[in-house]
Amino acid sequence: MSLWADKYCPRTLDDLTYHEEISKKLKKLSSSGDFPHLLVYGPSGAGKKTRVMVLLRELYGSGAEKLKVDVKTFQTPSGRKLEFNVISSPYHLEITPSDMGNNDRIVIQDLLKDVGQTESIDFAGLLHNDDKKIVSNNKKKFKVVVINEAELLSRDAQAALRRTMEKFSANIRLILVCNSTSSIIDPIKSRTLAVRVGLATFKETSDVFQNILKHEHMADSSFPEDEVERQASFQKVYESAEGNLRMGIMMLEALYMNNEHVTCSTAMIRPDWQLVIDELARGIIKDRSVGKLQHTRSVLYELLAHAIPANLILKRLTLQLWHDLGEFAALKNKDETLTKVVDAASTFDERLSLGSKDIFHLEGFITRVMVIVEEELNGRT
Amino acid sequence: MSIYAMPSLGLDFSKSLLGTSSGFKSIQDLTEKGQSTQSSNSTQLKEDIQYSSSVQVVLPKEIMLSSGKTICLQPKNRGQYNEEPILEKATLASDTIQLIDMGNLRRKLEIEKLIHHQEPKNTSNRFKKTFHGLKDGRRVDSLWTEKYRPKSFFDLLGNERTNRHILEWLNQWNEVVFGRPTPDQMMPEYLQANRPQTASLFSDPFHRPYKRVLLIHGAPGTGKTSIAHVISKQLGYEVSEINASDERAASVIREKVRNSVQNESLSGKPVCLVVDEVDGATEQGFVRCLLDLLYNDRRATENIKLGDTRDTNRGKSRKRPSLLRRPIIAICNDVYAPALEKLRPLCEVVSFRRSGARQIKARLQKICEREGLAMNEKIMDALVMSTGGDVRSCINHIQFYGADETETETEIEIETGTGTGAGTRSNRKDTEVAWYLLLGDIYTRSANVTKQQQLETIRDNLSRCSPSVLDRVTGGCFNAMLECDGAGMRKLDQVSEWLFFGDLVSRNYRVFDRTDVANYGSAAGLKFFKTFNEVKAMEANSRLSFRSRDEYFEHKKQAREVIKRLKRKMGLVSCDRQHLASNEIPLLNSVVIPTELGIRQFEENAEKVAHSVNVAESLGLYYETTEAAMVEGEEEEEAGRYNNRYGLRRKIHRFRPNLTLFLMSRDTISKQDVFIQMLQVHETKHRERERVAAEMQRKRQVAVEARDRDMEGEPKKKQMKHPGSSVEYFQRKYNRLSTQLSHETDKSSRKHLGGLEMLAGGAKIGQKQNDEAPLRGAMSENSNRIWIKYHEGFSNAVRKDITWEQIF
Repeated sequence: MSLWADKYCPRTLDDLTYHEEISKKLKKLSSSGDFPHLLVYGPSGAGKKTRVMVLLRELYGSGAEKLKVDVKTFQTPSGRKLEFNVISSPYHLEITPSDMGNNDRIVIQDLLKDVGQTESIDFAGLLHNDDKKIVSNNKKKFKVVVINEAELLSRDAQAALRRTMEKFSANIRLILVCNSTSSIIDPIKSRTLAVRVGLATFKETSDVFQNILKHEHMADSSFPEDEVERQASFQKVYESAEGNLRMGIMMLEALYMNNEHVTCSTAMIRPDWQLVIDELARGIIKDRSVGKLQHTRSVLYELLAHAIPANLILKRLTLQLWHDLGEFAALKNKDETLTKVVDAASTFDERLSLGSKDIFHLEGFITRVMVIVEEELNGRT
Repeated sequence: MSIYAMPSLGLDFSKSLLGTSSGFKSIQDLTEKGQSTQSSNSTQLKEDIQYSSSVQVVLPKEIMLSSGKTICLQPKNRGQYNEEPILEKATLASDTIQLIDMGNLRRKLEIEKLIHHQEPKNTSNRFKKTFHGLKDGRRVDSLWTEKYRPKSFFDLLGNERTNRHILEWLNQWNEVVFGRPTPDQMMPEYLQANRPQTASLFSDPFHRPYKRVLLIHGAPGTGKTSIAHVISKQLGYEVSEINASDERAASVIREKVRNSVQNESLSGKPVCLVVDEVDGATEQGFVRCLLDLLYNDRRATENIKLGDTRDTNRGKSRKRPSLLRRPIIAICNDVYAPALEKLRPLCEVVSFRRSGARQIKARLQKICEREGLAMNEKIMDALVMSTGGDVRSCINHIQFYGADETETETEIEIETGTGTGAGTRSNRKDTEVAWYLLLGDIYTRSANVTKQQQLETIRDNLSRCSPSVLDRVTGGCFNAMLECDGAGMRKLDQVSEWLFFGDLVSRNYRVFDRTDVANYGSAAGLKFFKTFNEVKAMEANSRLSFRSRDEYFEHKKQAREVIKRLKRKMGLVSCDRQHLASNEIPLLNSVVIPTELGIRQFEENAEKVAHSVNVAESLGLYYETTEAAMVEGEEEEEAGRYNNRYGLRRKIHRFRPNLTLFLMSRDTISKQDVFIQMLQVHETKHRERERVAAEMQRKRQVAVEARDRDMEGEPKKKQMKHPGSSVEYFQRKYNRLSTQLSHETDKSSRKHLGGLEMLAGGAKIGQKQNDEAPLRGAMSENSNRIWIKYHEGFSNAVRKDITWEQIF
């Protein structure tokens, strides 16, 4: 028994509850026994990874679920040794090249070349006679390589991928999984079949919740009996998880664990870094001084130290500022101020992605916001 | 040469010296006589002092010398310097309980104090003499870093607590190595009562420390290697060192480790293995080898605990795991190196901090005295600051300057001359010193040059810096900018643009190897100068702190490590890293440890508890209890270890990997502690229950087999069934009782069963069982509820027949 999100993760194509049309297409794809390189994209928690795993299972049978973690070592041209985790089953590999930062190109090249140059001999038919499907279409001579977080691949790595995709296409199929295609270069887009997996709607999400609760008897009783009320509480979970299904399920579980009875008025569980940022935003508007900056600096350091990504901090902070400034009575022309704040946010977001010292830019943003607000209140000095 | 020669003062000094240590008087005279024969300088106070401090050794040599030629004196002199520390060691190492001749120590201390008092006034004076004196005679023929390596425990710099901790750890090996009692055993009764319960859980038949390897980590040059050597020597070990310069193939190392750990050295002293720079080792070779050793040891220890019955029966099979009988100390710079991942949990990790600047300075001062170098306070400050507390590199610097006479003289001129910022910057072209000084220049306006001039000098200096230094300068500017007086919001806003520029340039340089942009690296620093440099800042000489906040980086590193580990677990593999840290882990935290719910409520709800334990198990989290006095993060935990002087240490309950790293409010963290403690109890109970069930299953099988084997054993079968029911009885019983008590019984009943299973065939057991079971039942039903826990592990205590009457 593990987390609900893992426990109730669909295992076959038929188990998938929403995005019928995608499931249908995937089914067709798998029955043909061969498929092009795939680019699966969509917001996180929509079920991209689930669909990929289900597809692999469909293709190779249950063997694709026998995962193990290997550590491979690579050597950079400068002689440094890099260690890299590869999750693999007999039929596929799963890698997250962005773990390696700027060295992802080497990983892509070495690993794919390695896999691509070895032709897989398929003993599956001999070993698992019971898996009729495999025996019947014994064509799959290729291995599947799943690349996670593909949008974080550096440009170099993507360029390296381009040629590899064609050259070793006899032995490898790639599945790129990413959140958005905006940073994927065109040549790769053109070589892949793009599949978008959107977020589940509320209806679909609540069905999933309902299904889980049906199996968890103890938990079932702690949620409201009344259907309307239950839906209302699901609605709240759905909203605070921002449609992310995995998050939603975890939140459901957390709610159950933390409360005797869950009603629609039960407070949602929010990660405490969000609370910290909200607090920070309030402080910035109220007190615009160097002393305050001193304080925000240590808060920012703390946030970064908790491995919260800088752009997420910026985003959350901007949204919260937007919200707080909207209610800030002393402000005369709110619209203009808000525009300026958002403008500053986008400037500093760019800086965050171009530079490497997050703390500089986060603090810069806060300084800028303070200046903007100060100017609005006291006129340009 | 205005401060040259202050004769009256010098005289005073020698008098007072003679006054305080009257015992030395005659010796002093002798040495002075000896000296006057070969050198006209009879007022070399410093040399005198040194002679008198190490006089026991010097005395006979001096006499021999005076009979010989004067030229021979110099080499003897050198020998004497080396002799002294050894002497100290001898007095200290001879008794590990550290009985020191206090009188002797105090005398030394007094002399030292005197030197210290007199020092600043006639440094340059003495310097001139001694330095030239050195030049003709003594050459610099060894690295000072080696020469002044600490020789005894009291020579060590650094954190006293850490040092003591290491000493304590090594002392725990006393029993197995020397056959002496370990400090734990010598502890008075009342303290022993306070020892944490866990200690008994993991207790070792030889009272060795629970974690068999000591892993010291810390920045380079802080004295990690020194402490390992010093302490092990002091406790009477022979040090065997393996380090990065040695061959590191697995086979070679295995051989070497085995040699040093299992064999005796020629000197007859036991060996302490010091493994330097483990983080550079590859996982396959060296770390693997150490791990094997540790696992073998663990198995061996368990065998011993279990009475080791089977192994002796099987004879001397080659597979028999060997016990670790010698301490191993591993040293590394970075504990979070991937190669050490597996080793780390098995090690007692000690983090070694930089010693305080004052301590380092005092040590440098001493070295300078010994070597006859004059070093002023300011230079030393700068040196310590620029090396960042790296003692080794400080000493190297001193030696370098000491070797070059002219250089040092200019230093002295600086000291006597105009001083202030201009002086320290003058002709030292050491860029490493410069980054710190540069920052000072950027922020403080020097009074006697125009702003334009200062700007130009700064630009010159900056343009000569390497990019990494520029990076530091930019970082330092950022770190200090808020504390600057002239900082206003608008200025700060302007500056952030330039910080961005600096960041961009440095990133381009570092990541993309774009050397052409390096020229622009200085722009940020110059902008800072233009914005913040004001005359006012100078007179308020409050030190601006240019330091970055190390503790955050440390924390970040840990957080990364945890994420990496969690990612490896199957369930969470699917998420990307950022998402994991920001959303998933906080939720996971509240699933596994529902702090919102009151502890009472949670405890009563068995379903939820079971769920929490299961989730944790499936994700590979395990509960851990550490001892600490404070709750603030891992860092303080180490430091706080000894805060509590009376051995009362607070226990902290945590997950490992440590999920609390991702929590921000202290409140929940402290709440979690209670929860985890509770969960831990549940988990062990759960495990026990499972184990009992498994044992029962096996026992039944044995019983069935036994029945099948000998049909005549009808009564035996009955006997066999009997314990089974008693166990069931206990299980029911313990479910009703409070957790701790039930824990105890369960354990004993398990032991009981284990014994049964082991010697299932023996009729003896059956007999005992019959005696015992009803009695036990009676006991536990008794309203007084007396619980008896007899000797754990069915060693000899259990194997012979015991009746309850004997116990009472």
